[in-house]
Amino acid sequence: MNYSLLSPHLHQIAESANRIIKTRYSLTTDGVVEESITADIPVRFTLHWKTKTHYIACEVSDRPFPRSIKQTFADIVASNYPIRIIIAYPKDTGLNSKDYQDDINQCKKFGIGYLSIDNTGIGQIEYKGISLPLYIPYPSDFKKFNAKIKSNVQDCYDHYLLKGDPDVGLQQLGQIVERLIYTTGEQAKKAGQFTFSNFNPPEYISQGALINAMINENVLDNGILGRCKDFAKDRNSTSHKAKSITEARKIETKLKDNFITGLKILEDLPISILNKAYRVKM
Amino acid sequence: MDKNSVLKNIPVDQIKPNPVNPRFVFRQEEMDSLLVSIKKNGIQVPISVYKDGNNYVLIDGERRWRTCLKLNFEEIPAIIQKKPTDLENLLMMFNIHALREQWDLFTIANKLTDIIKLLVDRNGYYPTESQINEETGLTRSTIRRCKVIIDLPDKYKGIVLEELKKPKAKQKLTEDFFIEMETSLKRVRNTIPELLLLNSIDKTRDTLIKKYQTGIIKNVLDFRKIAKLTTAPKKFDYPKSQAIKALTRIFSDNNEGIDDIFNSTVSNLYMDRKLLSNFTSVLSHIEALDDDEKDDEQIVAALKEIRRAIDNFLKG
Repeated sequence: MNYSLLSPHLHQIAESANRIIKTRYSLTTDGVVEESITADIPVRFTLHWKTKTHYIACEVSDRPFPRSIKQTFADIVASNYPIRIIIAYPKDTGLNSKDYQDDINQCKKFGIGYLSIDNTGIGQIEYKGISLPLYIPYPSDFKKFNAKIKSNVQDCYDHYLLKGDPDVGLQQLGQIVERLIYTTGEQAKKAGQFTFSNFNPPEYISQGALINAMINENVLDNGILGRCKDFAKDRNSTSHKAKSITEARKIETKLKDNFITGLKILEDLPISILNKAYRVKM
Repeated sequence: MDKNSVLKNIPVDQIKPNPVNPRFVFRQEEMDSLLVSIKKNGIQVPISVYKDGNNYVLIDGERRWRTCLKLNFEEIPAIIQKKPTDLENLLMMFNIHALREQWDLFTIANKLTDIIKLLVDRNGYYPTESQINEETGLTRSTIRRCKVIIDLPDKYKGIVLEELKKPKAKQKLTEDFFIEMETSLKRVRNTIPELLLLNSIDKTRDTLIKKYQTGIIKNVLDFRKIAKLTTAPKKFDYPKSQAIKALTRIFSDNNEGIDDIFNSTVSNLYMDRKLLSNFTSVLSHIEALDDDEKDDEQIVAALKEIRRAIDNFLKG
């Protein structure tokens, strides 16, 4: 493959990255070299592939978090293209351990995958990153969440961004909301403030039915319960697989919006629970 | 910009690199710095191109153009000039780049031969160093250093080129290394020709490269000590046979570095010489003092201190 922008000492890394990414994502063609994906994406990646639903881009660099990506990241995210970036770099980066770790942390916090390649051309994708329309900034702390759920919320973030599994992160977020609703219903039932006969803990009840019943009996503020109901409904709309790039773009935008909605609910729901003199229980 | 030049935005995809651009290594760290600047401030200085059919050929601004490509710009501001002759093209790039952008020496040396050939064609005679200096803007010392690189056998030019592709921090066999090594070997060849006839010169180069790569030779400046060893018989009546023996040890595949061998042979002679030279210099300064300086308290105090030290030394 011919590279005109890539520094010559990285050509071999690019060749290896091409092979490794093709194998990992079952791609049948070599990556397109240093071409524009679209005018909206302000960088020509070293390699890119267009699949049925996504773009996979590989930027080859001396280090895990190159300046070419740092500088253009915000614009790439704003373009809202379903694009997954993987940085390929030589195993021996020459960086000191602190700078190296900083780069790795940056990659994870920006949802950018990375792949280190040794001098025999062998390497593996150590972090797969996320499709960038899904990107949300990782919070500096989780103080705004009730102490009882703080670590669970952090876990969701970790899955969403740091482990590169946004759908798992969203699913876990949904489970926290479900659990809070359920335990509040349980407390209300014990206190005689909730009489819905089909709710008999620890038996299963659909979340929709439980929320409707709680709304009818004003167990919690109806505004927040309504948001919880919509959130559960919307989550289902993101669970099917995209068939095209346009569809993937819509689904991913929705998934991100749902995650943000879920986070907001998890900020407000515990306050509403405490306002009604119940405890926040998981 | 001459009066026929035009400034306008042109599509980046219609621009081609200049085939005679001597610069063919663009290091990532330098390109990254430019990328940050262009992303933040845009292109502040237009590139220069000439029209060639439907495309444009770069005269000045290849790094800016490459950065614009990387940033996926559609257009770039450019000054469109008339198509230059081959010599004008090369000279223009030398004058624009060599002075402003600190090209790698290898990059300059690589095209200097072409420039000299084109100057010979134009003028009908071989240009002097000062003529090359006038045409290219290169200093005479740079021209001389380039000539050392030009004269390197292809095998070693290849090594320099491969090295230049690496980030600066990882480069070891740099142009400076070869210039220092070649200068010292040239001195040996001119002064004790029989020594480098015995060993093949390439074998000597390979040994020195190996010694430098493995840290036996610690510093490129150590090569200057080879020149000192070579000229020691002439300067100090140092036995030539001893100098040859020492140089042979340096040029042999062993664990002896230049510094160690120099220190155990002629180092003291050079130190004594330097000392004498310093004393001579002090003496000439003292003799040149005028009446005003004789009244200067600080100077008088310093001289008394020197006299005291000399008296003590001579008494002992």
